[in-house]
Amino acid sequence: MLNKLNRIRRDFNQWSLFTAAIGFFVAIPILTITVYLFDGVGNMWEHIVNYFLLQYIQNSIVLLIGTGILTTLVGTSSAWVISNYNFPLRSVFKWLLFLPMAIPSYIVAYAYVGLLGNGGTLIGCLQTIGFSIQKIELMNIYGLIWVLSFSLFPYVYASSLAMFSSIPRSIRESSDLLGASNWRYLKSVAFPLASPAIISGLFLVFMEVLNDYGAAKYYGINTFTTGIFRTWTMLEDLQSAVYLSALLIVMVVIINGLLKWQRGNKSYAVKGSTDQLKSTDRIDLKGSKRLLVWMIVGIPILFGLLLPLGQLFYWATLTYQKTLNIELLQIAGQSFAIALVTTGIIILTSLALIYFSRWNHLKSLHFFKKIATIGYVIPGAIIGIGVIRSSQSFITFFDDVFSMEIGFIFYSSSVVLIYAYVFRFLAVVFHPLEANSLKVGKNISEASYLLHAGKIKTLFNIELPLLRTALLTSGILVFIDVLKELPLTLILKPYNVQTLAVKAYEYANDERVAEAAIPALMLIFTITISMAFVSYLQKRDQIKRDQIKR
Amino acid sequence: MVMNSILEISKLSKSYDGKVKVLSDFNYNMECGKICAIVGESGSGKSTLLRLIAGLERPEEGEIKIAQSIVSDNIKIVKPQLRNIGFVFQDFALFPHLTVEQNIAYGIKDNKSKMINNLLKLVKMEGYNKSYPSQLSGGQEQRVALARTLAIEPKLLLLDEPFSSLDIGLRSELRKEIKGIVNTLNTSMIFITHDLSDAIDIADEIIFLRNGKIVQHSPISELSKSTENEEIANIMSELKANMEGVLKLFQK
Repeated sequence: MLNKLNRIRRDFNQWSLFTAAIGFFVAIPILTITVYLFDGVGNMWEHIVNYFLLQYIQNSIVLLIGTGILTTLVGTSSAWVISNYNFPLRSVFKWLLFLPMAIPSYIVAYAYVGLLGNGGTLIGCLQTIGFSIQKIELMNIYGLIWVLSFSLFPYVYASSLAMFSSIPRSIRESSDLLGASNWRYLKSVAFPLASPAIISGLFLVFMEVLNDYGAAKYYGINTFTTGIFRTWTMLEDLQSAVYLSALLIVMVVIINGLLKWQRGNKSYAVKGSTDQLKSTDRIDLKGSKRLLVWMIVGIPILFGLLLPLGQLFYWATLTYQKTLNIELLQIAGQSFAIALVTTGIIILTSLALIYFSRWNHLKSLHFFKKIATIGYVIPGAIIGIGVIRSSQSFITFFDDVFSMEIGFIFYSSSVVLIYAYVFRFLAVVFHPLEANSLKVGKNISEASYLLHAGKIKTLFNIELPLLRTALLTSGILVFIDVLKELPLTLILKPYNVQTLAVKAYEYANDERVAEAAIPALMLIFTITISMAFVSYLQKRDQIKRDQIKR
Repeated sequence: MVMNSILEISKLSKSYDGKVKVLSDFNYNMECGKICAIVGESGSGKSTLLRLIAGLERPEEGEIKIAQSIVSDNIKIVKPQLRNIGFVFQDFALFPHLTVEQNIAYGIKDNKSKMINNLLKLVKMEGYNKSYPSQLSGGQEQRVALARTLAIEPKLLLLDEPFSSLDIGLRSELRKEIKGIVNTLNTSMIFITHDLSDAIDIADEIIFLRNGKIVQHSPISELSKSTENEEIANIMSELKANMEGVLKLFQK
């Protein structure tokens, strides 16, 4: 016992303290929600339970099941076609299938109403060619499933494409030599091998569905997230909003558990040749089969990208004189500035958490890494409530103990908003950076220590230069996420700060949906450029790796 | 206590996650200027032992002294960078973004260029100053890793399976070179090997390790007696080593 205590004292260092402090500080919102649960329910809770709760649960479950089925169908079929067949414009389709990710789902939702609503653009076109259709009723849960699915399927597409493309050539050839048809290979080999990746993609889709506020609010569907907003802003009962948040966390935990159970131990490591399928191994298609394949990849691009984008451009031509002005440029500037500052802070926090916890020798403190990075699976509305609750406590504490009024610092600056973004998106940078730092290997760092270099010198001269691409890539991804984020920004942005996402939402909410087009297009344009840059960086990295292999 | 000892280990124990015991109650003294080979199956604790000596792992129990100073016990741990130990990793761990010259210069404080040239000459790598690790063969990487380690003038050299990735010709050549370098610099060395011919060729003493415990520790000259030990025979069979072949090699 004494030895154990001595060892803990021996292994405890300043990094142990920093690891615990950062982990605790980042995770305050979620810890606050847990603490406030013990305060009992709010005064509107009974009303919510009687009239809304069942609806929230039912709608959320229907949305999850609907989008789950549709995104799996669309995402895996298009990934399969792209990875296994040669057809004209294949590489263009391959890239276009990622792009719906650049359009936030609430903007797709607005665009669809403009297309298919009363007097909608597409309806007008259909009437011109003789259809006597007035409108397609879209503002219901099925419409929302359609919109979210065609907006979010790239998550499943990306993960299954990566898996289908990484199956070694020898596996495919073995299947062929054993006389299996293409369909049999898909059903018995490729799909089971890709299923863990598909499930990972599906989990991200589910998290986005639960996080969605803009689309569900616009279509009038009561979900947990819209419920949390309503309870807090309209019913003015923050405590009941905390309870709803806790229920939503339970739902996330159940989904995570179900998907893990479904995945089981199916983490297949394919041994043997790493020689992957090349373009010459893909099957050339002709005639009706080519048409079928074009449909499989064309439909998601049409519904997830071209139609919404076309509608936005059409609206933009109608409204640009009114909306494209200095004020909008200032809003864009604020948006980018907040996203850039947040990205910088998230990168620094991730690096600090990764390296401080590595330099600390108490393994039990690795728990703090986990709680600090839990934000990505917690919908923005919950984090918003957690941040509001914790900052209220902080302000009260300062007022009571030091007689200092610090509320204005919290509510008139973007400090609270950026802090909430850090908790929400820390995992986007943390996990890829940690994985890459492990890939570099601890021997490299240890070699540096043994050459008399300290931790800081090793970090700046050895570790960070080797993480450069991963830093840039994950930084851009988090920049995109922050630009797109709506619920958190709506809850926490100070009155004098505006972002492109919120501006587009406000136009749509004020029944001026056409005017939302220009801010939405600016957002989409920035995200597309950023995604293209990430793609370029990853390609450059791959070429470098191939050169080293040779 | 051995007065001219470079390394003294007493009652050293290490387990991972408090469950798997990798080393238990390990005791060893090493005299200055000696070369020691450690032989054992996979998982016998060889690499962990080197990492504990270097300070890259933290022991649960026991004490390690380097040049008569305590570097690790239950109360304190001296950082790896302050132990002045040279370590050549199995995968060499060269910094991939630095040139050969920059890799070697990394640990040098003064007279960098003169020392780099001397070391490159010592390991027969002159002319490769500006090459990157990805442009070198396995044997060349090995030499650069050794030069980089020697640059800090270590009191003790630790080599984790230094010859495992080399072909037979290169292996024998490098063995001789390393022995020559260790003798020239009058330093001490511990290396891990799966191949008894490595040990016979350059080591002064040999340790057979099994399940984290010393099965036998003897001067290399007494290796032939080891054939009678059943546990060593088991280790040899695990390592697929032909004992008779080894004995012939030894007699030669």
